[in-house]
Amino acid sequence: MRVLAIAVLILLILASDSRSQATKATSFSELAAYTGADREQKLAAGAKNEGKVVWYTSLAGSSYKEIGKAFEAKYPGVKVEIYRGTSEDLMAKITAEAQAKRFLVDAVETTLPLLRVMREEGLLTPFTSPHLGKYPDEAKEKADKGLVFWTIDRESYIGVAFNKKSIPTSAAPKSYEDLLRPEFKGKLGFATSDTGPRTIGAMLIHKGEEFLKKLGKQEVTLHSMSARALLDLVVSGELGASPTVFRSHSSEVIGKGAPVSWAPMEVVPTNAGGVTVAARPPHPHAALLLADFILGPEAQKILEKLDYGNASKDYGFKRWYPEKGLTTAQYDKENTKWEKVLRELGRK
Amino acid sequence: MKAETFPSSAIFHPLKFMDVSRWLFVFVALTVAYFVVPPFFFIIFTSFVEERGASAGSFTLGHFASILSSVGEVRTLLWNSLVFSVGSAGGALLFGTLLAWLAERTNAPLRPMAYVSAYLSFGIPGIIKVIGWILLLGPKAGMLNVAVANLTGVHPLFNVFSLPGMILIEAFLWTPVVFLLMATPFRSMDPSLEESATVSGGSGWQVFRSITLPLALPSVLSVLILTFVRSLEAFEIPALIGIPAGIDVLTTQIYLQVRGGFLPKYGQASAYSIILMILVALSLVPYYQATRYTHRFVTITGKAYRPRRIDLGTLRWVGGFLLLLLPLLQVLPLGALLWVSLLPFTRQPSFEALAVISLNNYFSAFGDSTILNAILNSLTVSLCAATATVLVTFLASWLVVRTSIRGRWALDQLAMVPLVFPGIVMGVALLKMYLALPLPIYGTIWVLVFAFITRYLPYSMRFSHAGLLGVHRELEESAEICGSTWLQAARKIVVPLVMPALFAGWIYIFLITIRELAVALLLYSPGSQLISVRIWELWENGHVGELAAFSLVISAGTVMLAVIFQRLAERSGLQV
Repeated sequence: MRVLAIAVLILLILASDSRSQATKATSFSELAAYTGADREQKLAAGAKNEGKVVWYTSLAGSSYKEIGKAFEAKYPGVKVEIYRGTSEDLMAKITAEAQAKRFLVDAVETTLPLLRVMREEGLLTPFTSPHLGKYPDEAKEKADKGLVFWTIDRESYIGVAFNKKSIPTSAAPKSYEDLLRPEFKGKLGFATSDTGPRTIGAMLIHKGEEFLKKLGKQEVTLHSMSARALLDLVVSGELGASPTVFRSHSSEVIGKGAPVSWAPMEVVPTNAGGVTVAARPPHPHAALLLADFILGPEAQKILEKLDYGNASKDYGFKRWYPEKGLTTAQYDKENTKWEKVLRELGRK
Repeated sequence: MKAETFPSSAIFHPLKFMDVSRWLFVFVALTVAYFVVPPFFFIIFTSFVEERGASAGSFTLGHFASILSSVGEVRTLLWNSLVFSVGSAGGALLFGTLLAWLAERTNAPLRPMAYVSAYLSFGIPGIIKVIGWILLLGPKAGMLNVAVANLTGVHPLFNVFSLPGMILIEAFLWTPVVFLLMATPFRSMDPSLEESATVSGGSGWQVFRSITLPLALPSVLSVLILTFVRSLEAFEIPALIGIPAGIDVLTTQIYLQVRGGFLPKYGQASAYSIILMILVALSLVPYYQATRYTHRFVTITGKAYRPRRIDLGTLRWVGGFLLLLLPLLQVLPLGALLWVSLLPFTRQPSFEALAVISLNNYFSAFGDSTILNAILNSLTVSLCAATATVLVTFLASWLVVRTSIRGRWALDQLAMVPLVFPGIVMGVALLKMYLALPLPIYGTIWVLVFAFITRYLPYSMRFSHAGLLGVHRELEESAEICGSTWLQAARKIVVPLVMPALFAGWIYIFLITIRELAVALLLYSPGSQLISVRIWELWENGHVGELAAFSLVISAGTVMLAVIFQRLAERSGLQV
């Protein structure tokens, strides 16, 4: 009898759980699309009840912590819990959690290739935000009914950083072609992570294979470290120059007086990051509130202060988005090709 | 192996002993299996399954084929791997064993410094030390190279980006481990054997070669296997030094598959682990054959003795100098890191640079309210993981060494399996495992404890196995003849005698898990931040100065903790 009672109880709990999840799901997509004037109040009140928001991001440095703090200050009672990893880490975690049907994440801010994978796997909810009007069309991944899957909230630009003691001012590079000069022989280093293959992609598409063959004669070295760590080798003089360094990192060390300069080439490979909300967030109001906040003026100010670029601004160079117009499978194929070329470049 | 290995097992209550030990065996085997089998299964599964595309999930031999084809194409890969592993394992073994012998069996001075620095080395992440060596020995701007060039005009003195550079740095990284593993058998060795040899006219070298070294054989082999396998599957040095040098080893390919690309390719990495596993299993065979007659290797017997220290005479200062090399190998890269941690950006030591030194990197590295939480989490996780791992492996190695249960070698093999999982692949395997299990630990720090137990089982197993091999069975037998049960004998005799080895293993795991990364990276959750994850983040995005500042402080803290633990252990009567 007792066993039966427990079984009934369990069934009731399961049933009520699935029912509440079903209603949550429909109401969440409505909530995500809600454009009423009281959107912020409504979300803030709901978020306060939920108590916290779980945010996965590949933003780096102090940026995501500062955004988290600013959000908590604006909406007291809503704690921001952050998992920070590279987009590869995020991909492994998000897909594994989704496969195991553990819905733990509310909002995600990461680079475009991962956002694409999430969309293809049905892990995103199309949403709107009162701040969307301030973003150019290219920055939005459009869904039906004026909604977006994500919106690009920050950009990082890859160019050539060079040590001014090692490379004379007269040889300061202005285009990829300049890297073939004798002044760069034996002094060029590429990062194997992320920025390296993308730079190779830019060179292949805009300069052709012949250029890379010539570059191969410059005794290029590869370094399996992050673009930031590689910059330190340029700063110390171990490397003369690297075409795989972010603008934001360079301006940070230049600000401290390091003998380094950063120059955009004829195209600037761009790492773009977008903000989105999960398909089944455990804290739906807080998820949308955080997404709105990251796209809003307070968080944008923080990102700008840290030298992240904005999709709507012109910085005087030509951007190139490596993943643009490609499916995940196509991009993976291209990226694999670029990596292979990069590996050959470093082979002795 | 047959029961004849233990001819005296009939003397004491065989039935009672066998019954209890059998149940214990089942329990321990199940525990070890719980930690090892699911990730093992995952790796086998992944290595045979198509990862992506329309045929995702279907059976394939493609991952193995592509590895084998690249090996066939490029024989240099295999050759480089072999030279690198043999070179660094051999170097670390020779140097570490020599130092351990000097510290434990001779009157060479400065031995406490060698010990402190060996512990110190565990507290510092490998990547940090490698960066330190690159700062020192980089061909163009390495501080040592530049300094020597200024003095003598020779430039560069040593180019770290080369195969000798890879071997040297890997050997440096492993020397402290070898030193600590080898110190245990040397310390507990019965000196009467050496004395007899000396009395019979043997020279110091002859005694060392024909008495001391053979007695330490199980430990030497354990250490050789550990260092060889680790070098074979090492990622840090091939990645940080090998890739810039243009020297590829087997793991370079795997590293780039998993870490380099946009979509990680776990299939190939798993296939590679399987191949490695087979290699390790094969290399364990000679080890078992060599340590088969365990009674040959006992260094602790019932006879009263005081380990005698060999008087080196005036040579003791040479010994002291060699012992000083161990701290020096830690201090040099750390010194380079200390220097850059005080600067706004990396530059050569100079008076001009001295003018701009500050503690800014320290303030920015620690200027974060979540750090305290991360430290507490790391301490909890490492204490629990180290204790649990040592407990499980002590029981396991006791069963392997002391009982004649059939299949006990399989238990040893099982505990060694995680040694060959590349950390990143293991991270993914454990992530999937704990997401799938109904155990409510995913998202808490406990999942990290479980993960670390899995990862460090093999190391702890070798520490306690080597320790147990040294204790003569006669001690337990005497106790049992005097009426104590085997459990009492184990508790009152075996445990205290192998305690130094267990403690060394415990400290090793404690220190290494504080900075363990590959596994923690995917398993930590918001709210279960760890110190090591912060280190990784600084490595990815901070500049070297900030990274150096943070790691130096954390390393100093963990080493201080290790010293405190050691003192506490000594106070409670444990000789460590």
